[in-house]
Amino acid sequence: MTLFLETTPPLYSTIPFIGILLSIAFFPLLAPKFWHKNFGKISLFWALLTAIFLIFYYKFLGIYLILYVIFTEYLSFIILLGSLYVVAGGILLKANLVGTPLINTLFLLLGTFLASFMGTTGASMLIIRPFLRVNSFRKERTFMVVFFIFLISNIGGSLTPLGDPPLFLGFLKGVPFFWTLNLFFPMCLVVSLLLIFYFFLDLYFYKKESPFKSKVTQVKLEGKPNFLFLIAIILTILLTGLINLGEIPLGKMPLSLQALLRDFLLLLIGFMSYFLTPNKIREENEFSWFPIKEVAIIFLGIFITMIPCQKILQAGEKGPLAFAILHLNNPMYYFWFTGILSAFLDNAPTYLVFLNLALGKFYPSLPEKEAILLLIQNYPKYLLGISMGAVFFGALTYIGNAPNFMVRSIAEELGTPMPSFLGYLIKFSIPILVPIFILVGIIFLK
Amino acid sequence: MVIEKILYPTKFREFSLNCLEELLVLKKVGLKEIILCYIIPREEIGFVPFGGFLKEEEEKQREKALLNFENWQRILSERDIKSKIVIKVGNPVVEIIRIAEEEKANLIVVGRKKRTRLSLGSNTLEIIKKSSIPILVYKYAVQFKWQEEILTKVNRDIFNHPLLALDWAESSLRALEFLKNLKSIIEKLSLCYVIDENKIKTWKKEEIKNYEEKLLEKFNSLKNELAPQLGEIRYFLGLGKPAEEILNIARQINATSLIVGKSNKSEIEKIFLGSTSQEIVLTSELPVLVII
Repeated sequence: MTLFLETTPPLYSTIPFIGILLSIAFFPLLAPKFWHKNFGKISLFWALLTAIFLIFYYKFLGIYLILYVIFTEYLSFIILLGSLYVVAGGILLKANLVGTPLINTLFLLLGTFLASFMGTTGASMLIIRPFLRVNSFRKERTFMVVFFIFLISNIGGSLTPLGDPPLFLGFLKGVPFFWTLNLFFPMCLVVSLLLIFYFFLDLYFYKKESPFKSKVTQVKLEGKPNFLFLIAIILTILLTGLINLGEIPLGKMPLSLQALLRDFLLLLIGFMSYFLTPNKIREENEFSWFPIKEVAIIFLGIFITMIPCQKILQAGEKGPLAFAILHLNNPMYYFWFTGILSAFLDNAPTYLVFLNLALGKFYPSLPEKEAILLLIQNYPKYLLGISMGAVFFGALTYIGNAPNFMVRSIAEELGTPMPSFLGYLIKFSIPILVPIFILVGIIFLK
Repeated sequence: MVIEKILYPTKFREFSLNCLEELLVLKKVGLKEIILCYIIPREEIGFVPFGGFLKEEEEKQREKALLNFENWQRILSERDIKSKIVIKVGNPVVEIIRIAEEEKANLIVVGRKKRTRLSLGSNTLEIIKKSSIPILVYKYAVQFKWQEEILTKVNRDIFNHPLLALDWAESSLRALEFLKNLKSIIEKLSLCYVIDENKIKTWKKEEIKNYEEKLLEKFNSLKNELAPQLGEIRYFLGLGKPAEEILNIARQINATSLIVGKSNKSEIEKIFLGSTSQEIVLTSELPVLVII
């Protein structure tokens, strides 16, 4: 159940949403120091603009709308991200290996697989430091981190709602837990092509650098109980998605009891992991709350500013974006539009925008959950296009997905030079990823 | 334990050089080297949301720290004390403990600017919690209120007259051993014990008197035992809230520093009951040496 609005908000009410997304896109490029200090205030500014509009336009209903989004979507989203982050931060991978092309390819494959179960952020944080350590003797490391971002920070998160934030948002909206397995074959194709390409590229540089050869092969994993916490997170999401405990009203807000139970259990798992994992492990992992705090602050702004946008799109052909909805009538369009916007804005809100666009197009007056089930039943390629676009294209730029910037930051701190925003795009992501995405689109969405 | 190597992490706040200069007296008791360390908090330059790492800012901060440290190194070499510069990016608490272990330092000296009861997010308390070697919490110039007056205390010659707050726990007895190595720079040593007013609330007068007598006996035998090694020792018995009363005694006798043993309480006990050593570290206007 969602709050019902009698009138659709006007188009200008989406200005704060566009503003916050453009802030995310441009401030880190143009004024990184200013942005680093003030991103919270900037997010809050756009969120406040939306809040003021909603309260003026819808009076008390506007307040309820904001609280409803915070309680039913934002908090669940952050609690899941936070618990995955804490659990992943409690696992320490010590790899005393030599970064040969084969070892590196296996590293990337392992991380890609893990990303679907511990989230792209969790897997990236777990693996980036050991990955860079085993390659510290290699001269050319930039391409390694770029492929790491492609595979582990983005595409690897395709298989479950835990993998990537957009898929979890879809799950919160009503996409069944196992539906994301539909991305298995597209993901396999993209991952295989990337890994093959990576292997030969790494081989080329390895031979060129002709580094010393050693046979040290030790891999040590500490904080293993956190794998149990990880399983507990997966089971919590899965089981609370299968049961229906009803709703409790909080004022005009209907709160789903199984969602509350899920959030409570996720918090509990996060707390248990935090307090039961020896501090030493987190210290060696350089665990810090800071990145997740940043994501929490920015996403609060995104969730609030997104409210009018979602309502406009849900109104379908009766709303002010009728022209766009009428013309977007092919899953391929959804794939490319979701993808390109995901690359330059954050992929989570972009996913929601296009999901709402599709729902507005086919089922404008139906409740969200019901409409999503019908969309899956009757037009599954649309959802597939949106999901692939959001997850895959997040790798196209540094700003496409939150873990990209965390990986970049750690790599630069540890002495691996990373390309600029444009360098990443022109030298790596466009020539490597775009041809693969064209192929995937043709094979799976035509 | 002889203090041969000190780890001196700094944020280059006001008086940080003065603090360092005050430590040079330890050369008389064996100090050979000071590790000058600056940790650039990762949060200040890393994880720019959707950006990355502020490499230029890191380089700027490194350069600035290096210049400061090179000036300090000149002062140290004039006094014939070796020094080493360590500049790193990371979590300050974790890195300071790591460097202390790697360098096998005998003492960590941390500066603290204010007196405050707020312990939340205090790096100093975190370092004390995690360290396995003694920590000197140095406040060079601090304002404090005493007997309705606002006073400013400038802490110089801090080893002249230390006050050791005893609780008879192992760490406070270890402090006595530690002090023996400082003998040649200590002019006089005072010991104190404060009876917690809450502890004796329900006791009868007789019981309290017996307890006091036992404590005085303990003090006397300790004094006799230590006199040959530590010279003149005075002792004081107080009654009240331990941290407050220890500070009162220190003010009355003009102590130049306080020495406490690290609390044996668990983290949960500290949250609910507080810890005397923690409260002293936070609220004292004097430098506090915490013995682990």
